[in-house]
Amino acid sequence: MSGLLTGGVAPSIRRRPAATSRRRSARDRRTGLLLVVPALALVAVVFVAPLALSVVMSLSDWPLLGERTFVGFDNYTRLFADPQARQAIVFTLGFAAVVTPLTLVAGLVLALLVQHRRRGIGLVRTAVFVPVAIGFASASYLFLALTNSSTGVFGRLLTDLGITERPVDWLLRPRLAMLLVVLVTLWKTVGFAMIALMNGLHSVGRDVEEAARVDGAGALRILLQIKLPMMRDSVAFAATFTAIGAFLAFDQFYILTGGGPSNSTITAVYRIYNTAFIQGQLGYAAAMSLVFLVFLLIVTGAQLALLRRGRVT
Amino acid sequence: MSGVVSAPAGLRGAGRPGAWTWALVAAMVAVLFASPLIAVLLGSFKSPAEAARTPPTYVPDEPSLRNYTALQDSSAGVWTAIGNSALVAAGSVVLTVVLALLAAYGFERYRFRGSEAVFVLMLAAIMVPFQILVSPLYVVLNALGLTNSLVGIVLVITTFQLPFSVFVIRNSFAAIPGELYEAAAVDGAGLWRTLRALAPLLRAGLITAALFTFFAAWNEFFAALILLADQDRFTLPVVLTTLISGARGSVDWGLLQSGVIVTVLPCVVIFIVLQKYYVSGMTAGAGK
Repeated sequence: MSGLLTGGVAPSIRRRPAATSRRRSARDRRTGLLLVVPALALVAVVFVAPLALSVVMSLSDWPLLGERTFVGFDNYTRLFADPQARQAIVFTLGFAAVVTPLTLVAGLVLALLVQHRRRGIGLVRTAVFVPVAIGFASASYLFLALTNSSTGVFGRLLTDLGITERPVDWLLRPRLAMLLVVLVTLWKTVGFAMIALMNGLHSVGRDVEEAARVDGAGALRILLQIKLPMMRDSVAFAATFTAIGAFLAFDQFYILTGGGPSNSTITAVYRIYNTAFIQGQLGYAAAMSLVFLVFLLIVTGAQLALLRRGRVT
Repeated sequence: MSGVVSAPAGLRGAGRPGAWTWALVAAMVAVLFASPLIAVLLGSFKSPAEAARTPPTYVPDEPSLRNYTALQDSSAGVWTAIGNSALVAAGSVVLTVVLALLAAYGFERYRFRGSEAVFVLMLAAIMVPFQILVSPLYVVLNALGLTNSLVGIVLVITTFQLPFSVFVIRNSFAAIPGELYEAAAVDGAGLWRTLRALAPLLRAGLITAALFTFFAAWNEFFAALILLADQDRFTLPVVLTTLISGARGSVDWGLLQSGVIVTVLPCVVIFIVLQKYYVSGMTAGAGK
């Protein structure tokens, strides 16, 4: 779930008019600082210090146990020639490229289904959203129990429906393993996209829709050419969130595939984890992390820029 | 709004599916999404022997609580993990809400030099995900003696939940009319009494922050996997890996399913009770 808030777009706070215009005494300022200091101290130790340290570590040979040595940019030159690192990046991008559009399209279809108040609507929205509230680890164990080829009821269901001859072992073939993880990810996250896009649909005024209908526009055209452009903030939010979540995917791969079969499903974060805590090369892992962070910031930054441009025009 | 079902469907314009079509499709969607959870819930009530049967049964032949009582066996460690997860969740929620409440009050009410810059920097921290900082974080926490410690997990979760929490609670403060603060100041109420008097108005922000922190803490897998070494410290998501790792062929599927249900149940219940705060938190995150 730690992925949930990591991709958020930093919004601007609504400013309160000058009710506080009376002059602040020095004592007031000190009170303000004192109130903020505990939170800042924690952020300094658990966030700022590690962030700064990761730069130092990335320039060092820094084993989990033992002597550290400064090695300059060795980790970075190694990284750009490392086929395993490249494979992890390519796989992660591919995973995000599959999951993000699928989630957005499915989320939009679901949003259209549940956008209006009807009897039983709460039940439907809740059923789709509940998987968002459970953890990725839980969702993965859940599907492991359902899809294993010996005792999983999903295998029996597919056989009973005549779709497969006998229960399939999803984790033995790279494409099936990937498909399973995509399905779990979709099930677990599409409710989020649904609610975000539903909020977007609600933000488009009803008069706009009526006017377009009077002009003879069909429902699909109204959606594609009028509503979607008007709700671009919501679309951008859902897209960024889903994409960042996919870029940072780890739990579902670790639990379901273990990176297999034959190392075909190792994501960027999984590679960082293996490098740091299985191979014990913390310095090299830090270099990987920083390069990956730059990539993530570019993606988020591009998204913010798009959003801002959307507001002006 | 085509609000109630009794409104004649189809009159409000062509293209809107009829009430029955909608109900059918919506019911299928709801069943599709709920079925994995329901199937595992049913599976958790099989006897251990039935849970290991091939081909599996859809519904338990003879419902049994044995998988739940087996959670208490110390070898599985699930019982201890429930306690650890509860401690981590409670600790993270309390620490996050208290620190975020104080900071939000400081940022909103007592602007000091550079306070806006600090606030913006704090929000920017949201852009650096925890997963990116694992190796240095491990080194820092190890130096502080906080690896293999539930306190360490609580501090990590709190830190990464703080920016969002400060943001939503500050929004609650910003919505309070200035006269209320002035009235409190005239009364000469101290900090503690002022906050207590304002608490009802901050309710939505506080619950939203607590809710997101609970889900993050209870479900955290990656941080717990890296930072916790001993089984008696494991939280629920981590202890379940011990049930499936090792020989994959000899997984106790019944135990795994009851373990998953125990992990999932608090999230489902809390979400259903407090979902309006979850959605309002999402809207805040979207920058509405």
